[in-house]
Amino acid sequence: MDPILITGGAGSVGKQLTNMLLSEGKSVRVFDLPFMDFTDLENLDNVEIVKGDVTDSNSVTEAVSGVDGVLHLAAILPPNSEKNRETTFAVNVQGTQNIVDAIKNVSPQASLVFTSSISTYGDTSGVDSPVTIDHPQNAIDVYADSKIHGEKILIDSNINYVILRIASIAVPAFLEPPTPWPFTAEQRVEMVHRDDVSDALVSAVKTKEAVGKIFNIAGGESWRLQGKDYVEDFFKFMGAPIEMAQYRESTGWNDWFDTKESQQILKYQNRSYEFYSDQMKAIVEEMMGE
Amino acid sequence: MQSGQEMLEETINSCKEISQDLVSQNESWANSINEIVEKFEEISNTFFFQTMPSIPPTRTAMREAASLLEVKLSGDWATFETQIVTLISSAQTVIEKAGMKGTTLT
Repeated sequence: MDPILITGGAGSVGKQLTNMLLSEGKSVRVFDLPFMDFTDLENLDNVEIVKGDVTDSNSVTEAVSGVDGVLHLAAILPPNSEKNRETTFAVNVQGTQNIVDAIKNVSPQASLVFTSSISTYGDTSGVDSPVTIDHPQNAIDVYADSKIHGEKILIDSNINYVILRIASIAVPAFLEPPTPWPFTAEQRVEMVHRDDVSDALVSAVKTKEAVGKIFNIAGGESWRLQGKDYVEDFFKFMGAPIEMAQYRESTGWNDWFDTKESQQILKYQNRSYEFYSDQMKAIVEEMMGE
Repeated sequence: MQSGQEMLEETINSCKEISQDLVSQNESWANSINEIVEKFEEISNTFFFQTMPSIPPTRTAMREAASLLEVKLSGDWATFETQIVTLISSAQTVIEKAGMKGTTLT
């Protein structure tokens, strides 16, 4: 059985995906930078590790050789992506080009799942919601611009691809809030549970019907809120004063998204906003009891 | 009810009082207390101390610092040697819990 390659696979999402794929009987190849922590992965059966860099075409070819599919997570994310456009493009764009070239050369049957972002739509506040995948892309930051370029590489290639434009991810953990939140208080916001994103990624790499499609990945009806609703709840979970919350001054790149097709094909919206809220309350309660 | 932030400030104040002239008794103890003060001042403005979950560990550290200050003032150095270990451990817990990471946004 040919393995599924996960680029950037030594991070927390990569490790979660590895375990999900293993539990479905798949084998996994993890590709990440040599200094990453591979401890949890090294002793797992059916997991192969390739240490390298997506900007190095030789190590990418080694990683891609003989795989059945690729979950391409490796990228520089905000806020680091905004510090140096050249570095961000080297990893997010040239790195993607290297993966596509390697697939063409050594694993032409493999499908590539590309993690793009709903931030590629830019400011959609003036348009009707939900935002559909044919809405024009208009980057307002370096990260989104790099993802638009990455998508174009896939669309122009002849390989099997799936593009996931992923919404802001809500992580059920005790985490520091962003300052400022990347939206205004009145703005439409639809996040997605971290584990639903993992479900979408795994589903995308194994569902033939997904090939050649672009999907919005967002939480669904129960996650459709205004910015202030989400932030007020977050501060309530944390028991922190809401006065501390800082919002973006101008409209950012969040909105409500059309996910009918993505849900129909990938079946990933398994965790409602209420489920996430209950998880957050339980986490804080546990911490209070320690 | 005191906030985590207020408890942390009280703990810092107790530690500062504990550290006064402590070096003449034991240099290692003085260094440990000074290190706690330094680290707590570094993290005092983080989001963690505005949250409810900051209260239990910070309250423990605050109580232990107050107790250690009393022991120091009484001159019971045998008890001090034991209790400073407890305070160091509680301070470490506070520092670890305050090391929250940012939310992931794509």
